[in-house]
Amino acid sequence: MATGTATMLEHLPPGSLLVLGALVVPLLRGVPRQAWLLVVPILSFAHLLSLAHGSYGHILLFDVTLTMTRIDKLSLVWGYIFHIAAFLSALYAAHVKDGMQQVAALIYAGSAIAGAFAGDLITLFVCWELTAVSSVFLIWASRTESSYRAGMRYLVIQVGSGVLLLSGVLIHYAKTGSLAFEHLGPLSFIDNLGPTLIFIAFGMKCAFPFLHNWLQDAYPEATATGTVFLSAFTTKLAVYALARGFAGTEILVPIGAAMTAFPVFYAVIENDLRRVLAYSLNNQLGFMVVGIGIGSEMALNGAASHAFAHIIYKALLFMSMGAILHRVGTVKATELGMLYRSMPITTFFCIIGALSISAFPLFSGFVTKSMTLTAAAEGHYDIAFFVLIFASAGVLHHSGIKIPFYGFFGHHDSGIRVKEAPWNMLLAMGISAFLCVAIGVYPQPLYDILPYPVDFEPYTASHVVTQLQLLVFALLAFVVLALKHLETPELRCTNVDFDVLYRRLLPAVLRGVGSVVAAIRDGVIDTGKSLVGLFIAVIHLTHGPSGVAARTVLTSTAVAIVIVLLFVHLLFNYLTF
Amino acid sequence: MANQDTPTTTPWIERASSVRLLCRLLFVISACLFLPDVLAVLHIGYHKHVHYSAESWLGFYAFFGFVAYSLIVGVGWVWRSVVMRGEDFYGDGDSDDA
Repeated sequence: MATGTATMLEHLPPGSLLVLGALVVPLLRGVPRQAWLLVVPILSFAHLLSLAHGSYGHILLFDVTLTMTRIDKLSLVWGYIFHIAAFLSALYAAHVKDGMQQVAALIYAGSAIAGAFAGDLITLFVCWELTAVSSVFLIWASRTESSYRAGMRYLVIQVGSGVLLLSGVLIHYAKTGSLAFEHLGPLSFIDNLGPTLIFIAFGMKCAFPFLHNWLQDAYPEATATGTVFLSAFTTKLAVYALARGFAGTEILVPIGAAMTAFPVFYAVIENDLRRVLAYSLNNQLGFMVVGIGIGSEMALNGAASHAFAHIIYKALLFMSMGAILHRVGTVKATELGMLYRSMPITTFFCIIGALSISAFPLFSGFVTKSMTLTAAAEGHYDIAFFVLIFASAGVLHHSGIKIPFYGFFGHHDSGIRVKEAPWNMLLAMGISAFLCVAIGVYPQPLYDILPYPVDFEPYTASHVVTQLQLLVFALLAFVVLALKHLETPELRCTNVDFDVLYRRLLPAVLRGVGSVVAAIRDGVIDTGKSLVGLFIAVIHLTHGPSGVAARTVLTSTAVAIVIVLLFVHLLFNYLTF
Repeated sequence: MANQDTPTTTPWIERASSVRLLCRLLFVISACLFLPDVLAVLHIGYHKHVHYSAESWLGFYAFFGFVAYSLIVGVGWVWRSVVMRGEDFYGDGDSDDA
């Protein structure tokens, strides 16, 4: 019996308990439901821990064997952190009564976890689409016109990414006969189209430059708790997929470097603090993408550990902004000021998150990000190295200073006085903050679970001093600029990004094309009508009441005409013969 | 939302004197952090582990941090003049009703 249960559990992919657990949610009410939402991630984590390294859940689909579960060191990093994120997010959302969000969140987290353990590309595709379809409900749950529209755009792009993935998978299968989700080879639209399409699909979900705007568009529109879930899974599943399929693909280095740099300039002028965090998320993904592009053991360790630490501190920052949204109803910097008086504990946790993402020594960002930087330097990726340092100063600006400063302090007192965040939110933030510090102070347990043996010492005098110099002098620049009133002021505005192409330009072009087509159609119809009218007029002229063809002729006249014709005919014959 | 629990005295952190003190503290910390680079140049007790020669310049990371931050803010001013539009540019309504 016990063996049978164990075998059955082996056939269930990690994360599936979360998806199955979501189906139970509508049957529960009140405290049992809240408890269930917290217990399911723990059960799912226990299920994962019960599975040894290897491949499980082989299914024969037509002539193809699918491998639903593949457990190795790389997938386990994501498996662990996704479970931690699922639990912390569920705790943070424990006060929410909305069944739609609860079901969607569990399915979303479960499918992302299952995706990280997918052993073949078809299983990955199914999880890929399930994350898209389930997560959109966390956006729609805001139940506003803007969230509905943002959700639709999000869904189109996410499902589009899935369609591209499936196309690539089928082309790849037709060429190689393999569906295994392993390293997928070099990129080429001519010689290797399948993996290239898969790469673009991953890039859409990973928010590559020009494919990124769904992130800044949709995440700030989700509910206060929904954004915390969203920040953890979608993009990090894409990072995992890139690490699995395209490690060492050189093009990822400039792509990642661009991702770290350009969002900085949007974050600096953005007023919605959750959108600032969305740009910041994009920038953080860039560090991981660079690490994957470099592809060395240290770089991949850097990317994996950065993903791990990032999920926690980014969730913590989104949690603190979500707490403001929950209490105040807005996270626009222009509306806030001196909230630290009302929400001191949330302020404290937010500052921990800010210190972590800025990579101050003794916080989690420092012991993870520095691995990628060192790998870039050792791999002689000179430009990328300096861009990453530049981006590190940018992180300090938007996430290290702007988020806590404008969220909880600001230049003036807004007069807003609210209650501190609910206990469950504080507890989730407290655990996250503890993990940020714990990883920073004692990184060894994290290093132990990384894909490759770690030969890296973060706490050397040189590392600590140079990082502190970078950050403290950037902080000094903030102070000097603030004293000189040269900081960019917060303004109520919309900043046009690449999405203007499909939100304004494309509709305008389509409207233009539509009006041209309508004009041509009207022209054709009008010309046709004119021609028909002319024809009717001519017919009327000839066959109308006064037309030639309508005239009546006397019988004697007709006989005379016939006689003349006969005479002409006779004469013609006479003359001819 | 009312101002009922507004403190009668200005909290410590909001006082101008406190802000001045914190600023001075930052200046002192910055100066202290510059010191290791001087020691490294003089080869006294601290060795800066570098991959690029530029990193070994006196105060490279301090300078880089200060300039990078200032550059980001400066470009932010320019970029804002290019991309900023009205709050309801896309006509989607307010997004803060969550």
